[in-house]
Amino acid sequence: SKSLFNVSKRYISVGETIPHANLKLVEWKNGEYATTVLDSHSAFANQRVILIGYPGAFTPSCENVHLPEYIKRAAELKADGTDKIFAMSVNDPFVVGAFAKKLEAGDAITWIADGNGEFTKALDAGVDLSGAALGYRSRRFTMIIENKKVVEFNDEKGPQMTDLSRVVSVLTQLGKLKKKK
Amino acid sequence: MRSTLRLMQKLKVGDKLPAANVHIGVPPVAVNFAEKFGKGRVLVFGVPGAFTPGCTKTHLPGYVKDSAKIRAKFGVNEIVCIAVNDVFVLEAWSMKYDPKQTVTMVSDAVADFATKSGLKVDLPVLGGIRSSRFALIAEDGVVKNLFEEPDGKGLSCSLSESLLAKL
Repeated sequence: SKSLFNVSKRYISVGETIPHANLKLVEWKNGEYATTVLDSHSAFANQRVILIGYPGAFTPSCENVHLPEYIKRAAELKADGTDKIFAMSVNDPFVVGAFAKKLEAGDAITWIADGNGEFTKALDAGVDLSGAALGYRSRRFTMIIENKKVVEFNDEKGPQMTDLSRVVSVLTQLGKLKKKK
Repeated sequence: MRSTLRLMQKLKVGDKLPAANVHIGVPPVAVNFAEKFGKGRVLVFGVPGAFTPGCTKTHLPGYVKDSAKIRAKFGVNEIVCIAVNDVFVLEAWSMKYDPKQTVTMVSDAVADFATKSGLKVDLPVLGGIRSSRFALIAEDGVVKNLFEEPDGKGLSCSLSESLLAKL
């Protein structure tokens, strides 16, 4: 029920620049996942990227529906000018690495382990899932970001998974972006 | 006044187990820690993080391997692992590293047990306050033995082999 989830009234908007925050990135390198630290402006500069927000590693929708289809169609998503797919959650880098391994994601996704919720808070993309024994988490959303500016923002405004979050929606939006150019 | 002072002190031998709000299982069931584990003898060990190296390669496997010895020697009915992780993460970790589920995983997702017991450590690399690494034996809700790693995360006095050797 809606009362379980407190969602911020202020969301980042299309046209805004991604806020500055320090990111813990978990990436596939030489057959394993390694963690590095990079600030968000460096991470998103001079590229078009997709940013997926998801409530929790190993939670049912994230594990069984949401992430797998992005992993499966990563090559399509990255074709023609999209440089990277980022996925963020309020989880530590060890949990994220284990999750990525379980999903057999390889190098399809660059994972943001936002263990202290710093980046989630900066984006104002959080939701209180204490009622579901999860605490402060990222909402489910996808963004298309071009050189640090948000060009598309598909926000579920909560943890739920609807058609809005399906990979097909993002592919359609990417298709429209390419046509503009 | 006295009870307020107690709240700020760390859990020690002779204290009651904290009445902390935790969750067990998927889907999560909310339990009161003191009520749930307050009867008979129980061993509880705390880990800073599921899937982190020390917890995964040493601490948990030790208790899984020594489960029967621990139960026999210390007369405990249950071996409990508590961590500031959610139930989904703990279940995935448990399924991978304790497939026979010899250890009961308890999710202290909002660090209620860690805060109330004082058995906590701040680990920025993980994102904040976590359970410290410890092992305790309680009988009818009262702590009889307690070993907390001096730095909160080392691998020494809280390991199963250490308890088996010392107690």
